[in-house]
Amino acid sequence: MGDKGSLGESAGSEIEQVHGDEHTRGLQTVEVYRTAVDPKHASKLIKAVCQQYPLEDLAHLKRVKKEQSDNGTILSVLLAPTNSSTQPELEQFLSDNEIPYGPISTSQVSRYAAVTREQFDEWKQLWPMNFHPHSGKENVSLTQEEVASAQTWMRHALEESKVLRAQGKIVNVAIIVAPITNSKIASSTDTRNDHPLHHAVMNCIALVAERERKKRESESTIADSGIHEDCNGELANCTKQFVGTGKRRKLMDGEAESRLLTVVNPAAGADKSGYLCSGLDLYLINEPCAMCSMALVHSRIARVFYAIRQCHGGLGSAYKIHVHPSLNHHFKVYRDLCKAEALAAIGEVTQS
Amino acid sequence: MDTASLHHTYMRAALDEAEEAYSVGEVPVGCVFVHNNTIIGRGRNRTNESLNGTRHAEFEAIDQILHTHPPTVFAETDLYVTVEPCVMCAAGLRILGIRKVYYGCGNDKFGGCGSVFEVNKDHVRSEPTYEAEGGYFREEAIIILRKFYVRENDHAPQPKRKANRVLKTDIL
Repeated sequence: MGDKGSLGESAGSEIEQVHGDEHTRGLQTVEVYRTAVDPKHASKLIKAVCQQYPLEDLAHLKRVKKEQSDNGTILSVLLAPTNSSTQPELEQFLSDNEIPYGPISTSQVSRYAAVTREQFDEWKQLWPMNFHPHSGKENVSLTQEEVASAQTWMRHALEESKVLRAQGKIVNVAIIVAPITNSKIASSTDTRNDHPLHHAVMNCIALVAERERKKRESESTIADSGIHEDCNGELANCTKQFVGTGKRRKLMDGEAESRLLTVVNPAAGADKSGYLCSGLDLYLINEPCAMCSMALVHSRIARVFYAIRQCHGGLGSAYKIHVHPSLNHHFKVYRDLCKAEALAAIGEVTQS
Repeated sequence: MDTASLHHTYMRAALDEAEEAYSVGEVPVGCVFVHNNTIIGRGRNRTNESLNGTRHAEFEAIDQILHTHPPTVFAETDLYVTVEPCVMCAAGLRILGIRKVYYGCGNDKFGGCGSVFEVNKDHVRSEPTYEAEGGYFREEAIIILRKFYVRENDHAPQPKRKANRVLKTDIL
């Protein structure tokens, strides 16, 4: 379940980001040992427990809780989870370190780090926590311009789908876009009637690859022809690189695309240019199936926008492949983009 | 030949494909599809050459088979692959209605037949389920992957320098 952000207030859009389950989970607790400590011994105690009992998967918790009482400030220190130590062991440890301590008691604290502000505000009541709103899991809202641009691309897809519907073909369209220049890199339809695995996403990924292969072929041809005239050996390699770069700049200017983000926008990551679908966005009418969703992980897509959920879909409905912890690439997913228009356009007949 | 030696013959053929992938700098995963005791398709990873991250061994072989066979052939076809199919391939095989999958080693990062998801037999899709059974030439499948990953991968966005890496040969 994704929580509803305030993404698409403009133009009646219902666009919603699909988050991982950690965004919607409620408070779960774990028991820890704690003790009050005189402020003048606090730093010695904290240093000793941090070394002996590192928090590891509870690193989102702070070590110290400050409370006001009639006698002034009381400091409580989190010693260790009750499942990793015992009270006698902790008493022994504190005595060995010659640290005066108060009675050891237990407390319930949050087992998980908060990823939303709401979780943080609730869970920190138990015990102070760290919160990093920009750790990448926080809801990053789309700007109005981004929503408008996304709607435009989805409407392109819907226009194409009307033709397919009229022809009695499977109605799904994929468009891969370079967001930096807002230009189309490839688009494709679903051709599973010719090949059972040629879903729109698979076709579109193949087109991006084909395009990059052709580009590299033409670059290397041009670069090679420049070398043979006057260079050889090591110098030739330098020239080749130089010629290659020059040609890239020309293609860049001519085609205004982001596959070579290196020149346009060095901050976008020099190492990623032309590597699969890095930095590219996908627009798709129907939520992709598990095969297509995993293909997008393998392709390092940046963001996916789709209009209509599918019960077997891989990006929010049946699975959340885009945020699965074990997978090596995560991406953002936005759904319900132009949903009403899409349902009207495809006549409520849905395919993955 | 008895069943056990048949399994070994086909997995050996899949490993040969993986060796070929290794020899050209591709992630060394290979497979063969077997129909009526005949290999009808062979494939190995081709993601670097094709610049397409979806060109896994299974997809290479499936495309080959569909040139000469109808999609219905998969219902009587078994796959032998050196590594557990990833989520994408496992889902594709479900769509095709593969009969059974035999694999070498599991794939705890990407595996779609039990490791990460169980798309071979979960209830998300209505297509028939299929069994996937690992452990055939598992050590060989792992060793060739390790050999690959101690090399430097120039195709990665940020190639890692791996001069200090050593090949581990112990298998747990």
